[in-house]
Amino acid sequence: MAALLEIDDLHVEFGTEQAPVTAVDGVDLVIEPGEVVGIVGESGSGKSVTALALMGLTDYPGRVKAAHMIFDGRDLLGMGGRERRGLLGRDIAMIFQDPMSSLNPCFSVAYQLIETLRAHQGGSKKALRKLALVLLQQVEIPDAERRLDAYPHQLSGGMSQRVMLAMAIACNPRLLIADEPTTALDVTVQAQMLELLLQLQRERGMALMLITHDLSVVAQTAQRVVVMYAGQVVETGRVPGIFDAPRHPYTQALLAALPEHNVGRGRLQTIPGVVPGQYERPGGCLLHPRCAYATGLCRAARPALSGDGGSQVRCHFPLDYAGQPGNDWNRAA
Amino acid sequence: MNQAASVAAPGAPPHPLRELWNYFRQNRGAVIGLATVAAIVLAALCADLIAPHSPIEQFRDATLVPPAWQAGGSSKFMLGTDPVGRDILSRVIHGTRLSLLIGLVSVSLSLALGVTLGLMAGTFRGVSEIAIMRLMDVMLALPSLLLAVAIVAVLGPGLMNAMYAIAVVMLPHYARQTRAAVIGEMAKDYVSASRIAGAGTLRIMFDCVLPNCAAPLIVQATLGFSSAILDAAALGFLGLGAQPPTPEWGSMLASALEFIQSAWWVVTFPGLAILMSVLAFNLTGDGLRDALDPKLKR
Amino acid sequence: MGADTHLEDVLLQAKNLSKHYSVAQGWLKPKGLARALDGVSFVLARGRTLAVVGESGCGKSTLARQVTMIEPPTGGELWMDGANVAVADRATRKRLRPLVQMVFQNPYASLNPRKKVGAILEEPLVINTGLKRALRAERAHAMMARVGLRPEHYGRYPHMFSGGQRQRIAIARALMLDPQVIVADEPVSALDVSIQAQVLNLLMDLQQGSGVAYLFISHNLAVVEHIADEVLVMYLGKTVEHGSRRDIFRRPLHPYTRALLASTPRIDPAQRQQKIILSGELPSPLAPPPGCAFNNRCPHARAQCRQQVPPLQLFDGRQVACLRIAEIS
Repeated sequence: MAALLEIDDLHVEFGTEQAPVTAVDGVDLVIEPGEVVGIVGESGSGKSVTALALMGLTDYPGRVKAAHMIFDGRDLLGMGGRERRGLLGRDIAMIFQDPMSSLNPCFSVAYQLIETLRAHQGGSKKALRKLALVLLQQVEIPDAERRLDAYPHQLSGGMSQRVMLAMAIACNPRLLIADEPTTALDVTVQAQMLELLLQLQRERGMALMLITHDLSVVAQTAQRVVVMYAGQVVETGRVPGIFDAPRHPYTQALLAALPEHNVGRGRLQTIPGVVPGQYERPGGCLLHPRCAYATGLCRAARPALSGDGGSQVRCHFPLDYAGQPGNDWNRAA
Repeated sequence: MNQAASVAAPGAPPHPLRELWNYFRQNRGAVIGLATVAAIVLAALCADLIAPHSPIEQFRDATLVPPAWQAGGSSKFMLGTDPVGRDILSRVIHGTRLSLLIGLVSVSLSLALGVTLGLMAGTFRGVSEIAIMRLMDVMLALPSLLLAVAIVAVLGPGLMNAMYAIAVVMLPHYARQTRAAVIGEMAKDYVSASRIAGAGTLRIMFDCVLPNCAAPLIVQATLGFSSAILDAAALGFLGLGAQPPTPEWGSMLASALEFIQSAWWVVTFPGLAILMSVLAFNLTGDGLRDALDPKLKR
Repeated sequence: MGADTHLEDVLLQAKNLSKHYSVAQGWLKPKGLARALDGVSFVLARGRTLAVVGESGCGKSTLARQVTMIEPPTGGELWMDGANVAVADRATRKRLRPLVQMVFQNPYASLNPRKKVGAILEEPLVINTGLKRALRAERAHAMMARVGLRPEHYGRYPHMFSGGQRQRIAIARALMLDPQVIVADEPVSALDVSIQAQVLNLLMDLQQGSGVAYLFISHNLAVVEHIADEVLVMYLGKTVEHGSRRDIFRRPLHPYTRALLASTPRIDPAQRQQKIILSGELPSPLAPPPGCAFNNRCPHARAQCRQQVPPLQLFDGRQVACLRIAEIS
């Protein structure tokens, strides 16, 4: 079956031509129809920029380059503006992190839902309003009839996020991108929201690209995980395999730093240093200044992404099942 | 393992003023504006040196002489002379002093008073806020020129009184801007942090909050310069500002109205001077605003 | 609040602390009363961490504001260094201020952007002590070293630092006056996982070194499980469960606590608990449900829950506020 989304060698640069700031550095991404993929990374990893580039929403002065970017057999890069707009909101939809600022405060919920519906399908105002009501009920908003005429400031964070979701699924998208959809929500609301997302995904056969920094959220919802660091993909793998036996030292260190994996221990295991900023990208492997297993090779040469579609890793000495670096690391170190 | 927690580039990050200048100079209009302002300031400082003649000296035998490049002109009076024989070039050059003085005094007075009122309204809220803001609203409801004229009528004509009048007219803008900024800043965590450290109200007002409201105020002040010059010119034109023989550009216009058709140079050059200085300050102010809020351009 | 808490080790004691806000509801309607904090009690001893857990609207931020004396309480007592803050005069409050300091959630908003790090750190010293400039700078540098900052950071502005480093600066500032209690309001929620670990370690090291007590407010139960000694769970301004960390995490009793724990995502499937999806929405603090505040969402609610406000009672080694606790546990 052909992949729903295929991104090959995506680069996104900001800054000037003379002094570029690379936010996304050669990212490959494949999503099958109906698949739930989690994109995980910390700040500066480029995960949100990747999603925005896919949607064509990159901030000025970003420059997007890719070998190809194909959605459902259609070339996104070569597409004109009008065609792109026809695709966005209908076949690809996105929900964002902060529900309070994602909804237009000047218009009622009904207005905003109907606006989305009208953009992609016609119909009388009455019919669209009925459809909007059905959508609100599908995202499990209690008392939907009354909520239709509410304004965003009258809704709580969880409710606003559900309205966002209703707008996103209005035209039955084939791919839903959720950029940190639950980060700003309370933990019980987060659980409800994730449950809802998965339910809608199952019912509609929608692919879901879940972008988050929270590894445990991804562990509970995704089928496949893509780990990003400083603009690159460093590991991909299936859940739960990737969490039981991570192959990249960064993934391993991230997991080790979680409080969940440090119960009973006085201090949490940490990754020394910080994510390199724009001007401090090291040569060789981007992780080497912080990696416990760095060798001369790591400092000199940037590793390529190796492995097959199911499980890839960008490391000279990927970790084995015991969590130790392989590939004759002992000899190279 | 080497030092954790490292932040910026190997060298120290650029000084904030340097960073501001870097943003500023990318806006060509702003740089031109700033250069013009610098030229005006230079002219004001060295007026006695650059001006060929005294601005009030009357050459009885050379009244209404056209500019040097026209027939009948003379290189002694590069831009011609006015109806009583004063050299227009010298008067325009000396006029820069007055314009800058007007801008400086009016804006400073207005800023000091307006910011204090705004700070008080924003910090204390309640009754004082209502009182101050409604007073500002009343002042804003009156047309600014009429208000200025009324104040000068009470105080008497003259350049100093014109400056006070202009200061009063500009007051509500600074007060409102400051109050809005203060209310926004007061809600921020670092103000709470200072409070928890024991800071009293005065310290919070002037040490914590005010420096953070400064950016939009600075921009407003720069733009206020140009509107002060315009207002002073208007008052001067009405005969309520600078009195003759002071070479203030607006009053130069007033005395020369009847000569628009016959001796265009008497009106045009002071008018051009007003135009250029107002434009220069506006461009500089806009450039400052964009530079202080880099998000606008990125 | 263990049996081994000595009286002289108690740094902070709250008894029935309450804060009610009167809220305008429109021109002709009577003013509403929002019971943001409604009768919360706890004891905080030297070197201990009390975690206050709850979601938005539970009153934990209000509690933070009461303890740091930003606002006076409307009811109850708050004892600090032998004085009741709730009724204290201005001079007493001024004396007590240096004893309780705060670290805020948002590292990007809690530092004055126009001040250099040195000035930020020295501000508490300038206000509260008469130290000369050289001595202040010395103290600032010493504190910077303690939290892992380098000497050259002294002259830089906050925007030049990452989130984790700003939080270190905030922690350093909180420690400048050598407080007995630090209120940490979601100090690591806005940080990346790897930085979170660094900052949590720092907080624990500092506590071991100086014996400072933490009032640790968080909604992240994984973090709480790691750092807390005692846990206090709040809902709509009231305490619903209060006990030692071990008891609460091993066997949560109150339905709300159980829902919170069940909702916390976990990587290890074996750690995940049976999902408890709460029905309904958080009620507005202006119109709490009658009886138990949780009754409209509780899977175990019965008629009596709508009639009676459950008192906090001792059950299985901790305090629980639930009328049916014996039946449902």
